[in-house]
Amino acid sequence: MTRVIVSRALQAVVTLLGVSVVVFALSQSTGSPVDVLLPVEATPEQRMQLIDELGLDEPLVTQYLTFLGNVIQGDFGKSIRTKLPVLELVVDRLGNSVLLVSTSLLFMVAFSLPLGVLAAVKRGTIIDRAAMGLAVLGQSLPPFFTGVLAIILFSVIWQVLPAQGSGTWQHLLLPAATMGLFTGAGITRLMRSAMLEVLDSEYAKLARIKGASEMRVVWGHAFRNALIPVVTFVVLMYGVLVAAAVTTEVVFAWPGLGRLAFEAVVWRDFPVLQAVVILWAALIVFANLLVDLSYAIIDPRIRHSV
Amino acid sequence: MSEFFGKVRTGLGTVWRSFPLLPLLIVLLAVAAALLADFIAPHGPDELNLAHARQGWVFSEGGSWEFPLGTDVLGRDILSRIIKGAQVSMAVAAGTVLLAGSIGTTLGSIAGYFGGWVDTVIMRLVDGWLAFPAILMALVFAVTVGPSVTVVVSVMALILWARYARLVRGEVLSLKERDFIALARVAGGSPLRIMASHLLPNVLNSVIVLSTLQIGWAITVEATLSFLGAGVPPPTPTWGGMVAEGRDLIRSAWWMSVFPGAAIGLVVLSFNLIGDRIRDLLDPKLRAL
Repeated sequence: MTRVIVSRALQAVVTLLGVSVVVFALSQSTGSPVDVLLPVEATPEQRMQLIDELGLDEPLVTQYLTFLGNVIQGDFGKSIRTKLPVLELVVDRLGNSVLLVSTSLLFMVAFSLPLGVLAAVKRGTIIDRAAMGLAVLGQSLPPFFTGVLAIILFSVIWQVLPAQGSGTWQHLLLPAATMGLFTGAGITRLMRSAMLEVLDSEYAKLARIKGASEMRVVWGHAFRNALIPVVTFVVLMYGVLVAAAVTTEVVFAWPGLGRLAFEAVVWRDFPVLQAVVILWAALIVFANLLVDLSYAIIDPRIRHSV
Repeated sequence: MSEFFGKVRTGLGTVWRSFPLLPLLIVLLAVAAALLADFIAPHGPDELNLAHARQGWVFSEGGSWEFPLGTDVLGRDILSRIIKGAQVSMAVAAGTVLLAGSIGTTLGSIAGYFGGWVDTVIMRLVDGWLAFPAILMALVFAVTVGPSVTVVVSVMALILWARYARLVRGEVLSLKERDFIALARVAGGSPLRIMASHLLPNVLNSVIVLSTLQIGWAITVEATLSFLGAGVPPPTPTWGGMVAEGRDLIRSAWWMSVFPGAAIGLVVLSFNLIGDRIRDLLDPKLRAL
């Protein structure tokens, strides 16, 4: 068990180091920070002094290690646009993103999973076809477009929900639903196929022969087993979730990390973008690690396979 | 043998009968638009008609057949820009799938065939990669390297290759235990030769299925990048970029973002439906993809 934990944790650290190397390498191609920080009329002496202060004359490896050390201590430098410490900006927005993503996950659990189960149980019926049609549609419409449609319908035509901003639960509804539709569509399809497979299995048949009600077979036996591939999929989907969050936040002017990343792109504010990427990567890697470990605890086959 | 051909024939018959024709038509239309954009577009995509700026679509007040889907703030014809925008979408999607497919298939074959530490290294890379927030990396590239078709295709291929690698590796792992591979090895075939002429033809089916399923994904990601201003830069019209241009005007000029958005939705939906169908027909065991 300890071996599994150590090996997975090492893997997570290596992934994060990889991310930091890529981000550092790319930051080198944005041009010298001296040009950004100093006015054009700066004297060569001032330039030399700043280069010395920032350690830009050190070898790249030393510079990278300094960068890494700062990042670990939470020092991501200052935003080029607002001159505020990047960490403050990021922490400020983090809560909003977590709120949006978790609400959309809730939306997913509340609608996508039952819909997938229903489609599997009512296989081949009109319900199944409607659910699958909705799922394919949800998967095919990018969130930034469904977001625009939702704003036109709910804010412009019917005027029942606010189009942009944050603060109340009404503000949360449209963005969370927009994200949930896109990410939940895949879950519905996977839930359906996983349920179909499990409902057809020997133990489901045995449960029926033993006289269990169909309700009990579906929810008591099949559902829990069908959930395993679905949970794996949700974990693999973090990347998609992040992408959906970025565009959704932009469409609805939701003040989260995604919108911060977008603003950083618009303003070419590299320190901010760099911090968002590293932080998000760290969150994802950490979540993956937790899931891996919980699998290892639940499933002895995985425990011994590493 | 005759049994085999019988199966194929029924297979083709079923394809023909149940193939989603409308999606096929939409995809062909999009491809035709991309190839023939300069000939069939009623206006130049950058042609300014300031007198007709923000004109509604044909069935709205003040609309005309001259600009069937309306115009944007500069009076550019939305329909012509959508037709021209198909070029970027199709080119980027095709380029991404080809590039990612080649890289992923090669690395996946190597990992599966050689096994051992080579396999471990490649698969760890794949696992790390799949967990990565690719869209953010694409934003970083766009800010540092600067956006262009080449950058967009490279970044997207960089995101996608891992899925091919994982799929191909799995197939190669089971294939290499089969007798014909063992025979090829005994006959003195070099690893390169075995991979290229014995393994590749056998995994190609799955690679094609995965590719048809990924084209819709590629179009969506390209549109997302363009929407965020990290895709192919203006003035080249892109569907995602057009949605972004119209976003602040949805109250007064909804057609500016709804029509290009609908183009994305329809084309991606069509590719997904076709991909699903092809997968079910060619390779039902890939249903989990």
